[in-house]
Amino acid sequence: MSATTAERVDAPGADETGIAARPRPTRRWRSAVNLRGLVFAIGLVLLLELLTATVVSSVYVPRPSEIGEALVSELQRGDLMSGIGITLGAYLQGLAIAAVAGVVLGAALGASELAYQTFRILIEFLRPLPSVALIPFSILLLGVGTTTTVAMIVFASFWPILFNTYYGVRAVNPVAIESARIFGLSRRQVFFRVQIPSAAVNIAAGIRISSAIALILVITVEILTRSGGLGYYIVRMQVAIRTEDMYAGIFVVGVIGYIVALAVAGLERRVIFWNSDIREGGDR
Amino acid sequence: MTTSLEPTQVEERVPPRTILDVSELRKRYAPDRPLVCDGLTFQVREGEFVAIIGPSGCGKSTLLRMMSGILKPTSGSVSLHGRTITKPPPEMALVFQDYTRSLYPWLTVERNVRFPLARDKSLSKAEKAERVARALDNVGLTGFESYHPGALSGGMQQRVSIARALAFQPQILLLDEPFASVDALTKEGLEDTLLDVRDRMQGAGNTMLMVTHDIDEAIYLADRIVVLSKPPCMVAEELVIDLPQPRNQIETRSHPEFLRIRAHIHDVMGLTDQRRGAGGSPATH
Repeated sequence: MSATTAERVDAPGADETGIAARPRPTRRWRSAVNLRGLVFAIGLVLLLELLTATVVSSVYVPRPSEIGEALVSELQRGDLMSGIGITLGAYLQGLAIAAVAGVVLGAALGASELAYQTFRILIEFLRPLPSVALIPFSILLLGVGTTTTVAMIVFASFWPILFNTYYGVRAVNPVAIESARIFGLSRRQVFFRVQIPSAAVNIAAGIRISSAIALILVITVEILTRSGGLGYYIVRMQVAIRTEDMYAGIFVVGVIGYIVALAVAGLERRVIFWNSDIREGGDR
Repeated sequence: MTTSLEPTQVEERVPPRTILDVSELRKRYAPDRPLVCDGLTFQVREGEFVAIIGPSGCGKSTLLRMMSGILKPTSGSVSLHGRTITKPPPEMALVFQDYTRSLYPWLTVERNVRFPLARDKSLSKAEKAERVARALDNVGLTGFESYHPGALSGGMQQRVSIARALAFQPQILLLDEPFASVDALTKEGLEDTLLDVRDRMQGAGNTMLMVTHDIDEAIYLADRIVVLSKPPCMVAEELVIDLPQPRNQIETRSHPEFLRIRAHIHDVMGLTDQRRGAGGSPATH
C-alpha cells in the first residue's frame, strides 16, 4: 500500500461532504516569514558591531564582521571543515546507536513487566550518573578518539529514548488495545501493531531531547579529550588566542544545533503526522 | 448426515435460535469490592436487535467486556452458539463509544477497516479488499479510503468504526454507547445507517446488541429492550418493542406506542418520580 502519509494535503476542501477540513499546521510558514525575529537578530549583531567598534576594545571580544571574515577564510582552509566532518560523524553515529538501542530496549522493558523490574534498580542508578563523569574511565577503556566520543554520546542520549519508549508503550490508551484484542489479535500482534505505533509520538520526543544532549556531549568530549572535531578546534583557537577563529567555531556549533533542531522537528511532523489530531480530539 | 439434517431445518424455521446466552453473570473486581453485576441473565436470538439500558455506573461496560471475552466473570457464563466465551470470539465485533481512541490515527480509513482482517490467513488479499470496500459502502464512506481518521468529523469516524466491525463479518455486533459522543443530528443519521445496514445484512450478521443510556435511541432501534437495575446490576425488566417496521425518525418517534414505552421505561428506572411527586401535574406537552 502506498497510501500512508501525505494524503491529508490533497483532501478537497469539502464542506459539502461533511469533512471538518482542518487547516494544516502553519508552524513552518510562521518560521519562514518570521521577519520580526530576523530583524531583531540582525539588529543585535549590528549593535554588537557598533559597540566593539567604539566602546569595547578587547582581543577577547572581536567584532562580528571579523568573526564573519574568519569564518569564511577558516572554512576555505579546511581545518574547520574537517572539524565539522569529525563532529558530525561522531554525533550521527552516537545518536543512531542510542536511538536503536533505546527503542529496542525500551520496547522490551515495556513489553515485559518482569524485565522492567529486573533492570529497574540498575537503570535508576545509571541514569542520573552524569556521562561526563565517565569520560576518564572511557579514555582508559577505549582510548582517546572517536570511539570514546561516540560511546559518551550513546551513554548520554540513550536514556531519554529508552524511557520515552518505555512510557509510550505502557501508556497506550486501553481502548486502543481492547479494540484490537476484541478483533482477536494476539498480545504480540497488539504490541507490534498498536502499542509500538502509538509510542511513536513518545519515541520521537525522546529522540528530540537526545538530539540536543548528543550535541552537548560531542563538543564536551572533544574539548576534554582534544581528539579532533569542532570542540578541539575551538579549544585550540582559544589556546592560540585566535579569538575570531574560536568564535567562528562556536558559531558553526550553533548553526549545527539549529539545523539539527529544525530537521528533527520536520521529521517529527512528517512521521507522526497524526499527533496534532490526537491532541485536538483529546482536549475537547 | 442426511437424517440429522431434517430436524435442524424444522427447528430453524420455528423460533430463531439463541445466539448469545448470558447466564447468572456475577462480577466482583476484588473480594473487598462490591458486586458490579449480580446474576444477570438474558438471551439474544438470531436476527434480533437488543438494546440494554441502565442508569450510568450500573456496570454496562463491565457487562460488555465480559460478553466480548476480555474480562472474566466472577461466576456465571456468557456463551455464543452454546460455547462458553473465554477469549474474544471470532464471531463477534464491537463498536466503541470512543472512536478517537479505538481507531488508529496512523492508519488510513481503508487500513483501519482492514485492521481486524489482518490475522485471518484464510482470506486472500482480493477478498479482504472486497470486504473492506463493501463495509465502507454500507456506511456511505466510499471515496474516503485514503483519508486518515484525524481528517474526518466525529460522525464519520464512528462510521469508520462501524465499517471496521462490519468488515469483520461478525455473527453478532456489540455496540457500546456508539452514538453518545456525536451531536444529535449526526446521531439520527448514524442510527438510520445502522438500521439500513441491518436490513441489507438479511440473515447473516444482522444480530446486534447495543448498550446505551439513551432511552429514545433504544426504543427507536431495538426489537427488545433489557432494562438493568441500579448497581449491582440485574435485569429489571425485558420489553418487546412492537413498533411498526421499517422505522422512521418522524413516525416511529411520534407513535403512541413509542411514547407509552418511553414513559414505562422511565418508571422502571425510577426517573420520573421527583417531578411527578412534587408538582402533582405531569409535565407533558
